[in-house]
Amino acid sequence: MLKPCEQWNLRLSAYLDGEGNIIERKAVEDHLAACPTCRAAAEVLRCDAQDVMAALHARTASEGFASRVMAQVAVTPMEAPQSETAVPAEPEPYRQPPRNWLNVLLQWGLGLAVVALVASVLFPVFAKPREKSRQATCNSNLRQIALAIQMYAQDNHDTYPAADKWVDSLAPYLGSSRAMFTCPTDNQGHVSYLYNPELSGLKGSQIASPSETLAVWCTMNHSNGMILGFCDGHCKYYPGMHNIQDYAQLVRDEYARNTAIAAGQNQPGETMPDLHMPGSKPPTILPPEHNYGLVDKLMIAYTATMALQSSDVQKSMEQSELLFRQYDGFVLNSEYHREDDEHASATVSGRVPSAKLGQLLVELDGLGRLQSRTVNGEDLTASNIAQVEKLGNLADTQQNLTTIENRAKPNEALKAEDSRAGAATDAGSTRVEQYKLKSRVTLAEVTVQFSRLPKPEAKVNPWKGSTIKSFGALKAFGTWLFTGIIIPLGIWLPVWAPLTILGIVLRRRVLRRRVSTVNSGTVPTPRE
Amino acid sequence: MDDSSLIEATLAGNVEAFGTLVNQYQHILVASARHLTRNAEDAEDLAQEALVDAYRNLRALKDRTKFRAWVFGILRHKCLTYLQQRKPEPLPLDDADALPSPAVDTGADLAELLDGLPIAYREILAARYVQELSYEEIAEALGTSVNNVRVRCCRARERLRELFAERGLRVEGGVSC
Repeated sequence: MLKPCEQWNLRLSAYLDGEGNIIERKAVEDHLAACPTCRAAAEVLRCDAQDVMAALHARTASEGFASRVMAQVAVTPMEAPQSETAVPAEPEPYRQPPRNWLNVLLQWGLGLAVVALVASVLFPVFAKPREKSRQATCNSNLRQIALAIQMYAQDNHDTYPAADKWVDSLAPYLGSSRAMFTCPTDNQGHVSYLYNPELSGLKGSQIASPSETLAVWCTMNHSNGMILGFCDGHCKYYPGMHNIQDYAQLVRDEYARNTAIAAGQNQPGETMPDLHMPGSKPPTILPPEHNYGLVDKLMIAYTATMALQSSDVQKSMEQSELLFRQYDGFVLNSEYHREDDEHASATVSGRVPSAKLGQLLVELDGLGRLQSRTVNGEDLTASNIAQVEKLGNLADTQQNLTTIENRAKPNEALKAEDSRAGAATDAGSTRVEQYKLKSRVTLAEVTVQFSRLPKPEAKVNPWKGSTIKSFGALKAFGTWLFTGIIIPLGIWLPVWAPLTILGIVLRRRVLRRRVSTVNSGTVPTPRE
Repeated sequence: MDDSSLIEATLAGNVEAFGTLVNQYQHILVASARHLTRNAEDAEDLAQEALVDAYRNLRALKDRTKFRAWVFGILRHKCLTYLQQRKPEPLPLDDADALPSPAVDTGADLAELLDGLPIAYREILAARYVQELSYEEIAEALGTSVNNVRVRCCRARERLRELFAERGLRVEGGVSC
């Protein structure tokens, strides 16, 4: 097939149609003189045009066409011009085809289903990176806090901050804002991180292995795991951990394993790293007491239990969890049981600094009707608020500590470490021990039990025993009508109706525009 | 007499002058309508309606030298409306491949072949080769730009050339320079 040069195609076509200005025509003529292929192609195109013209002109009007037109013209009045511009005759108005409502419904339903499907696929895809970024921010916060702890220790005679005011102590090292103490996952905006109270008042030299001693951690759940910060300033993400007790278990296991390895009692199949190679570091045997998770009974100065009755057990349970965190504590365990509407119960246990115990108990009192309240075995159900609020103050705590100290067995590991830290004599060791016990923040373990507030007696049914037997059926029908028809319609209609109306309006507008463009002759290719 | 004088006379009340115009344009309007609609029966009706509408709205025509393009514009609108309202044909004629392919170079067959082109090409062919309008007039009648008409003309030519080559109506061969 003969083809003209590509760049001359358009100009050649115009040239053959007698179009284009004199410069263009001259350029085409020059090219035709130089290019034999284009010349041949132009000849063919000219022949084509002549043939087309001849073929189309061969169709003529029938004999009486002109007279028929004139007969109609004779009875047609000439209209006055409506506007200044020349307007072509109005074509027949476009009539919208009858709407098939089933199709419209199907289209909208299908559209919504596709949107829902896409959204359900995309949401988890976008949620994952979002959680990753939160995790990274939290990790960064913890690292900053861990470094701030080190800086604080350097500025304060190598002493770690006290646990009851650790946030205030560290704030100057972290800028004026306290935003760094809140995990991005925490919507409440509280302090999301907890400080290892074991470190309270300790000297840096007393910590045998800073890289393995817990300093601060995030209480929020990060992709089913936890982020922990250590005394040397490093942070680590531990997947599969839900609370600090999980980490405590890990430390305990590790401690037992390391002890076993050191004693040459390694389990069969357990690989031995280069622990016994000459010159290598001996296996780390971390005293479990150095980690918060192993807070032993010694540190629990108070054990409180409360029983409350609440009309909404689940809500009260959630509120109590928030309260634990609000008072710088954490939740160890929370359980919710629901057998039926009448029988639901929940148990929340957690720990807060002893100094906050009184305030927590008073706040918890507001969550329901108090049934019982005991603190260290003493029944305080009938005590007034002022008495309860005083619980956990310093003098009280000291007294409790002395009792505990007398009762508890001295801790060999701590003693050994203290002696390493410089307290060579027994007297010095005792002083250090006493100082640590006094400067430490003790904890209060609180267990709250919620039960369902009994409902008032049901009203007597006035219809019972009446002659209207079908009342039950009527009620069932009413319930069915409400839940099966009215509620779904109430949900569906506000979504569907505006979308459908919008669709109709848009379609009508498009059609109107199409008609107007047809009228003004701007439609290049109408659908056939 | 040229179109302007005839229109002047028609507007002055001389219906015979419009008859002269009808005689002058009847064949090309019918041919255009037939080419656009691909229907011989309805083509004359549409051409007749276009002429009657032109007469009715003659006062609205400002530039009387452009009567030919104006009437073609009216006819084109009529044909497009007709095509929109018509039921779809059982045999799709958009593609010339669907047509029987007798390689006979007669005028009637060629015209049928041309009828197989899509409407975008058909209206350009009708305007250019039947009405013999200039690019500017076509652009005005079609409501588009001159450049667009230029490109569409060129594409219509290419399509024609391919069509003729497929049907064996032209000698094949040659090389591109």
